[in-house]
Amino acid sequence: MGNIYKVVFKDIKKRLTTKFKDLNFLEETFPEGSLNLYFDVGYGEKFVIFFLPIDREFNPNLLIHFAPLEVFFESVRRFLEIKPPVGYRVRFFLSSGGFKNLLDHLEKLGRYRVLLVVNLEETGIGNEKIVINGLSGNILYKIDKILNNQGLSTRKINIKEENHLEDRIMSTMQFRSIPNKYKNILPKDLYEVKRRDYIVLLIFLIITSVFKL
Amino acid sequence: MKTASYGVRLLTSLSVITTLLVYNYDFKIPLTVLSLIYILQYMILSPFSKDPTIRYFLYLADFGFISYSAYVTDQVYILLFLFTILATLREKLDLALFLTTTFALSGFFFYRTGFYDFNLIYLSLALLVVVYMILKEIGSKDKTYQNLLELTKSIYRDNLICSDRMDFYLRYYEITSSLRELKEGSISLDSCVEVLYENLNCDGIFITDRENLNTVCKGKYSCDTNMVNLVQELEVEEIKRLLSVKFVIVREIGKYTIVILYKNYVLIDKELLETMS
Repeated sequence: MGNIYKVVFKDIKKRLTTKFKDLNFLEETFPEGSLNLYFDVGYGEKFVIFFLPIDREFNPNLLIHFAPLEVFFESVRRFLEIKPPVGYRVRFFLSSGGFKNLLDHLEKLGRYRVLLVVNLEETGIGNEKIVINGLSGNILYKIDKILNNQGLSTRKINIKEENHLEDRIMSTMQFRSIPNKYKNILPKDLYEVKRRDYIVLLIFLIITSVFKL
Repeated sequence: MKTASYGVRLLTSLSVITTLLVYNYDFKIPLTVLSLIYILQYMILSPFSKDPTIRYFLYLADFGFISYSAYVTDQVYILLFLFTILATLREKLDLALFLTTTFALSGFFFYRTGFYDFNLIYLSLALLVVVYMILKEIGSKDKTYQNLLELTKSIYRDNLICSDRMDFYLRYYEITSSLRELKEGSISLDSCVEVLYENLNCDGIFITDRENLNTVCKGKYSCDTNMVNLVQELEVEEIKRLLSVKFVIVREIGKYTIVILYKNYVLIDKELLETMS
């Protein structure tokens, strides 16, 4: 079961190609065995990156791994079918090498071309809090307005936990399930489509309204 | 379910082979080979039974093999295996198709034997009852599972809401108790500022003792004499300009003045701040 991510990547590819025929998948393999799979939606010089790590511990029967994958598929569908990005590209990036691979990829891409990295880990399992890093106050204000329009209250929390991307200057947005004591053992049966749709709507609203031309 | 369907088919072909051996029919070897081919094709094709064409081909093979061997050996009882296969089906359309065909075939064979094998009716009826019972059991299990799942989901939802509220009340309790103790004079200013900074998630906090003119601070901003003077005189606009913070909240509790600084962000944590007034 060492290379479970290869099977998962294959499944993801199959599921995406059956629905959306003309997706252009790109792959990067590394000598140590890790794998990057990504594809772009839209055209433009700047990137918004949706990032989902799929590592060796990936277990599709657990909510914490299953729900983010569903969120990933739903966001692909939204950007392809409902409103394609204008003026920038959305790159959907899956990696078995975790954040290291993402950072290497961003280095290759050019840091200035990346508008925002959306980290989809832990998304869709409930009680998500938006963790924003490196965005200016103006944009934060916009996001705050969107969230308030959706009937959500916002407050600022300084998270003292370790943030994987904090040491680099980068705009990131991720969804952390806090407080959620048992998130690591919850089974996939607790997954709800309603929750997924809501969180994807929020991500979609934030991205389309913040980076519109 | 997979092993059950394998077992039924294996049993069918084995019983056909035994019938051939016991009653010593003509073409014994080709018929034995046919039964082996039947079980082999099932083993090869059944992993792909998600594809409807392959699934219906497998059913066709079942009907073909069982009815042909019943026809050749004149043992009508072999048809009863169709009912056992019926018990392994899950989809409604398959069940309906299978059931009609099975009844049509049994009726035909019953007619062919000149309505002689009356026992067949009782046996097939008994088997049908068994099939019905098994399906009902499966259905009720599914239903209880679904109900339990719904219950678990609602509990999970409630748990999420509760843990959020719990987090809030924990902070609420910490803040109110530390403020009360500060008023009574049982804790020092330093420990109180520590607690408030942790729980209010602000960028900076100043607490001034108006009687002793003693100020402590915590956060990103340094506690120099200039700043302390500004805080003690409560010049909010000047503090905003100097530290470039957007929100300054002032609360007075007993002889203490608390100044809370939030930088660059809209704060909607009113409930907690209201507890401090």
